[in-house]
Amino acid sequence: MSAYFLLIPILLPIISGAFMGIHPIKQDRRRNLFVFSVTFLTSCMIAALLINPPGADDLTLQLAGVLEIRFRLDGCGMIFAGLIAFLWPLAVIYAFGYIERRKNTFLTFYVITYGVTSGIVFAGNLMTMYMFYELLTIVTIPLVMHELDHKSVVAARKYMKYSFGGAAFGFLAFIVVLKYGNTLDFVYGGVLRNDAMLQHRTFLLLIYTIAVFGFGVKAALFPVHGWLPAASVAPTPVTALLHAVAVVKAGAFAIIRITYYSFGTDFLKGSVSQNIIICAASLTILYGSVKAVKEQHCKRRLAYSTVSNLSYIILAAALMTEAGLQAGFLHLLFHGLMKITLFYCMGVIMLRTGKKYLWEMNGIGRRVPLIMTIYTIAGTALIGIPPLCGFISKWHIAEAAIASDNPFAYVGLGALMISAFLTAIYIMELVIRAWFPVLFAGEAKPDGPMIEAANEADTMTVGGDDGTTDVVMADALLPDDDTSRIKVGWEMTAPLIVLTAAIIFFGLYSGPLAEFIRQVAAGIRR
Amino acid sequence: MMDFFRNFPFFCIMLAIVSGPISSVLSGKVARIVSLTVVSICGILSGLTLWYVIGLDEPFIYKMGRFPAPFGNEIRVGILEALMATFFCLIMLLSLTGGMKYLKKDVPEEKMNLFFIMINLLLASLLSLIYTNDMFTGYVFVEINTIAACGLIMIRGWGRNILAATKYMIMSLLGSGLVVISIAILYGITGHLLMSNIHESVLLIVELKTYTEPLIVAVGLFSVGIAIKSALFPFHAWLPDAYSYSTCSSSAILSSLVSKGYIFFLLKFMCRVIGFDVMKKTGADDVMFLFGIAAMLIGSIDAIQQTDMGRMIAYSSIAQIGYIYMGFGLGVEAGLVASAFHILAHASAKSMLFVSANGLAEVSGESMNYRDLRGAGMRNRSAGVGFIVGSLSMVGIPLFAGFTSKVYFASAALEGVRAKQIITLVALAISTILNAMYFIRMTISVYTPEMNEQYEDRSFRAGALYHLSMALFILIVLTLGILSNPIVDWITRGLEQFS
Repeated sequence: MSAYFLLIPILLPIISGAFMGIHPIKQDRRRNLFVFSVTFLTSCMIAALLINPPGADDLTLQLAGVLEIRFRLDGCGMIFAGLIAFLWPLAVIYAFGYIERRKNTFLTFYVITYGVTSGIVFAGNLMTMYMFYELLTIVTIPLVMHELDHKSVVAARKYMKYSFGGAAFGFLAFIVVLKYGNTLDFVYGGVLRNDAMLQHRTFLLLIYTIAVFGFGVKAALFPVHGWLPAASVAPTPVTALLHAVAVVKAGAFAIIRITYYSFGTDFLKGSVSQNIIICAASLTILYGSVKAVKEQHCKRRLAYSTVSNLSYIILAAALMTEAGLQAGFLHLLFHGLMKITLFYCMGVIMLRTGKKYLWEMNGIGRRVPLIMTIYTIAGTALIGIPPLCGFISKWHIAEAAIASDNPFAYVGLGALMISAFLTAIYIMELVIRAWFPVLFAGEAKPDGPMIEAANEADTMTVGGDDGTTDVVMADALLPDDDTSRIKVGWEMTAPLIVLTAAIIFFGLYSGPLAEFIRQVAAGIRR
Repeated sequence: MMDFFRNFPFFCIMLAIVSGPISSVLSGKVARIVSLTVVSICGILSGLTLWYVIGLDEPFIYKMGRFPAPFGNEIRVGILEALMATFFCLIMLLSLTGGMKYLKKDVPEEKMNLFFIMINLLLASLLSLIYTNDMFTGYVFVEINTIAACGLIMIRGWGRNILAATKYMIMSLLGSGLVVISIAILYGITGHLLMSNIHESVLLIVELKTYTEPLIVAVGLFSVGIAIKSALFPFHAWLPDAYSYSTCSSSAILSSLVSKGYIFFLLKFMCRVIGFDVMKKTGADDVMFLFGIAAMLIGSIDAIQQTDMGRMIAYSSIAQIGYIYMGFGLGVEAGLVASAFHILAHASAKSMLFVSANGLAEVSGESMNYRDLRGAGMRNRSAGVGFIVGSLSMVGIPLFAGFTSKVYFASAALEGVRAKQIITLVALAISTILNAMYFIRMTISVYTPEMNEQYEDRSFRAGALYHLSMALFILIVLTLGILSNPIVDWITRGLEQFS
């Protein structure tokens, strides 16, 4: 296929989204049909491109000076492209059922984001990736503040500050590669000039480290992770797809790109930078898990779990071996599947029952049995219990960590083990509460201090700047002994069933995928 | 036939100067038409001049009245000069058309012709500052520029305007004083007023090491003088009041053109009068670098604390001026290119921001407080879009003008010494965050309707002229961001012609 086809998955959603923004579609059915067909067509186009990838002829567009916009589909892009092409149509269907207010605006930006994310995926050089990376922040801000209440606006502001700040430091890597590299293009093994590597070694390493933390903002690397838990006030389709897959994975993807395709592992391996990043990732893994165990708000608990799991990817990538990269990619894919499923389940429960906190979930399994079953499966996968897909990726990470000669990798390995244990706690607590309410029957109803603590956590994360924090808990805390079944629309169940099938499928049969990723990671498949 | 083009810069200047006094006897309405016509004609003529000089290998010198230098007066036209002139005319025209509606509201009818006298004089002085080859002529037009700018600030006639204009006058005259002393010293040690002649003598002075101290003093005084006039930190105290209290067109023109005219004069001084290498030897570049960096950060920190959109945009100007001085201070040619490009990028984005801010205030009860502005972007669509584009350009998002200049600044910094590299890169990153903190926060406010109150009133119409100006502004910003290659080429060639 010609490289021009790469433009379709980028421009089609952006143009359709812009069209919806300018000419709002009034009827729900028509709008849903329009949005779904756009998303589905885009995904089909990506699938076609994956099966029949374009040749070496790049698509370039000259910008300022040496800056070019260039699109190319290489192995690294294919992996991420496959993930978003699979998830986006499902997410759109789910969003049809979930969003109740300002649907047109929401879907406008939801569709545009698809195009922008495709731009990151198909970016053939650092300039293009950086451009779409910044655009991604811009188009997702309206989604985060969709509710337009005080909390979500504050969260959006926080998100905006973190993201632009991170990109500003990522910009340094861009400029350094522009100056000291042969080209801005992504070339497996790095593009830095030999003389520059010798003369400016310390400077380059310094900039690389700063840039990793810069791009790490989107990947929620500690200590620049703060926006992610706060942004969980966004509607669930946003939290699930963007803050568990597209946006955060774009951060991890960017780190992989600059590490393996711009600076090059030959240059970075064994350096202080590598050790710093491994340590930061290990710390984040622990931090995220510990915070998740401590958190009582279900969605925010999952957000902290995302913080932790993203660092699995960064840790694997930071090993700077082929096996490490392979493991990172695997976890990038599988975590996307598992986390979006978990979030969707939680979204259904929150939307239909209004319950948000853990202690309200006792016996919820009876009311939404299908959803809770799916939650249990996805949660089990996330813990890393065989035969589900989480096990595969975690196994690869651990294996890669041992195989690499870096002593710091063992720090990461330790973090992985402790985190697996903590994951079991924070996932299983809800599962047990949901299915076996009897065990918690004697539990004291949360009273004053506990509510206060939860409330405080609420305000601390999203922080009100003029002192107006809406108390969300009042009605949710009323004793709720209703045990009737809750009806969940097909828009929500269908995507969940497909996702669960994928989780089980990849757990049982991941050979060809892992082999494909191995080839990409080894640089065989460009 | 082609040689006739050589007359165009002179025509522009004379046209602008003559139309000023003529406007004084015209009614406000006619004066407006005259002024808009003059600005447009100047823009077209400058564009043609630009096209002409691009075809030439070197700049041409035009002797007024064909008298040779010491008696007659010279103007020198190169690519950079013609580019700046064209661009300034364009921005001035758009600022006027965009702010026309507010002008009629803010300025009483009987004073209207005064406003346009000032505009014509300002145009004349800007064009002369750009083209002149003579230091003293330059000084004269610096003063005319100051007076015209003062008039623009206080035309609204509020107490606050008068106060702001007084502040501006005092600071600006101090700057002019320093500039004139510097020119006097230069005249004393070289015996010339013509830029190219001074440059030859300066090279001789440096070689013979005779009048080194007076030379350094002259460079210092000139730089400080221009720094005061263009509001470089720490001389920026006059700026926020002057920009935020004046009428829409005035703020747009003041922020985008007046200070840039001075800065362009400084650029000519650095490259053509003293010479860039000599400039570096005096150490002036290090000083400019430090104050530029400080301005970038402090301007933005001040801007964050503002609750008023107009003042916020005004404070951000201080930061942007800092960028330009930082580029001057990098001590490499590429830094000058970046600064010259940033003059264009900032001028277009900032004037657009002022015009859109006024548009947003119009639908929010004439208030620029961020609380009143909530949801204004949905009430005045084109102003909202303009504000978004301007903000994104200021933050430096790819595809917009600001990103291009950011890339050029950063890559210029990497050519300099190591200490400046790291400081510049980190300052750029921090400054980007700070910019995002206030511009994007304000954009979010502008698009967040009040929680309880839904604005159903969509009857507001901004007017075709406003929409058109806004569209052209957006077009310019995007052009500078996406198709900047020819422009940067012209700037590079123009700067080569300087030395």
